Amino acid sequence: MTKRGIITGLAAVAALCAVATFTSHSARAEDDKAGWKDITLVYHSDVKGKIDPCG
Amino acid sequence: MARRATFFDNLWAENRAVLTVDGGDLFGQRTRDDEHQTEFLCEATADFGYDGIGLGEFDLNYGEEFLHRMMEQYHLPFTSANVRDTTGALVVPEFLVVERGGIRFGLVSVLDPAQRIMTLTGEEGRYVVADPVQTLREVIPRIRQQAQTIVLLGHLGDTTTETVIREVKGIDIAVIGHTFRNLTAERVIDDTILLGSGYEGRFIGRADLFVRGTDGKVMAVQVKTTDFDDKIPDNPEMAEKIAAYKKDLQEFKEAKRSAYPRAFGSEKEEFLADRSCMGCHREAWDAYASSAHYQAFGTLRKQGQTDEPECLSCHTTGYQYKNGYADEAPFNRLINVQCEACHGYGTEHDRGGAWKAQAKDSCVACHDQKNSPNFDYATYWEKIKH
Repeated sequence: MTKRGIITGLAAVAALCAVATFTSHSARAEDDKAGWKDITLVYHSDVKGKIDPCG
Repeated sequence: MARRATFFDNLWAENRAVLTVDGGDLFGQRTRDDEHQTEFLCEATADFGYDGIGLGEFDLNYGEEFLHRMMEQYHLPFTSANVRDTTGALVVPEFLVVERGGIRFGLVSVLDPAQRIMTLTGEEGRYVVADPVQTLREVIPRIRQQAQTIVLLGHLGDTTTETVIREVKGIDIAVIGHTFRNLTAERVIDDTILLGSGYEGRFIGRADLFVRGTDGKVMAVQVKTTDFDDKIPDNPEMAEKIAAYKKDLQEFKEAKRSAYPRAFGSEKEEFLADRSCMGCHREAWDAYASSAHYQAFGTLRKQGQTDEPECLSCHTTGYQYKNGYADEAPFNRLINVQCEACHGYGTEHDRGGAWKAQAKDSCVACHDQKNSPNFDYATYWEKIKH
C-alpha cells in the first residue's frame, strides 16, 4: 500500500467513524427528544376581582 | 372574562397538556360590592380549571372563611408557603403537586411580607408572613422529593421576585404576581425562567414548555401573551352568564341603597362643598379641618366601606338629600361631614346669608346610641367648636 493509499484509507476510516459518531449523537438526541414532554403553562396574576378590565 | 373563556376554549381544542396557574390577588377590593363580584368571579374561574393560585394579600380581603368557602365550593387551589395565622398554622396548603403530561409539577407560592393584609372581617392582626427566601430554601427540597419541575407563584412584585430567585436555587419557573406588567417574552435568571402577565385580567400568558421527561428540566420555552382586546371574541355562554350577573349586582346595590333613600331636601338646592365656605368662614373652616368630621370618609376607606350606604349616610354630606353625596362627579366631592351636613344647603345660605338655626339638632342623626353611645353635646362641641 502506498503512503497515499494509507492516508486515503485512514481518511476513509476517520470519515466512517465521524459518520458513525454523528449518527450515534443524532440518534441519542432523537432518543432524548422523544423523552421530552410538551406541556403548556397558562398564567396570569392580579385579576383583582375584575370581570372586565377597566376601560 | 368572556374573552378569557374563548382563549381557554381554543387552547383546549389543541388537545395539549395544560397547566394553569394564577400569581395571586384574584379577589377584588375590600368592599362588599367587590366581595359580591368576587364570588361570581370564583364561580366562573372554576370553569377554567386552575391547578394552582398563589395567595395574594387581596385574597384575604374578605376574611379566611370566605377564602376557604371559595376554595371548597369552586375548587380553587390556593397555595402559600409563608402565610400563617398566629397559631402557626398555614392559611392554605403549603404547596401543591400536579401531574401534567407525564411530569409532576410542584407549585409553591410566597407573599411579600411588605404587603399589608387587611380584611373586611377585622382579621388582619391574625396573620404572620414569613421571609420568602428562608421559606423557599426550606420548602423547595421537600417539594423536590415529590415533584420534578418547580413553579413559583411569587406574589412579590417584579423586583423582589427577581431577588428571590437569585437567592433560592431549584426554582424552574417563576410566575410574577403583584405586578402591573405583562412580559411578552420570558427572561432567564440563573436557571429560572421568569414569566409575568398582569393586570386586571387584561392579558394571559402562555408558555409552551419542552420538558425533559427524565428529570423535569425545562429544555426550551416559547412564550406568547394574549391581549384580551376586541380581536378576541366573547364566549357567548360566558357573556350571557356575565350579563345576568351584572343585573344581579345592580339589584344588590339598589337593594342596599333603597334602605337609605334620597328622601330629603330639594332638587332646586345644591351643596356647594366645604371649600366654598372657607372664603368667608376661615376660622370655622380651620376648626372643621382639624376635626374628625374632616377625616370621616378616610375611616371608611381604611375599613373598605366606601360603598356601604349604612356608613355613607353619616360619613358623607347629604347622602340622603337631593343632590347630596354620590360616587360620581360632581357629588363625590361631598365626602366627609362637611359644613353643609349640619348647616344645610349652601345655595340657601348663599341667597340670604341664613343657615339652619338649630344645626346642633343634626348631631344626633348620626351620633345616636348605636354609633356614638357616649355622645354628649357639650363635650363633643368642644371638639368642633367654631
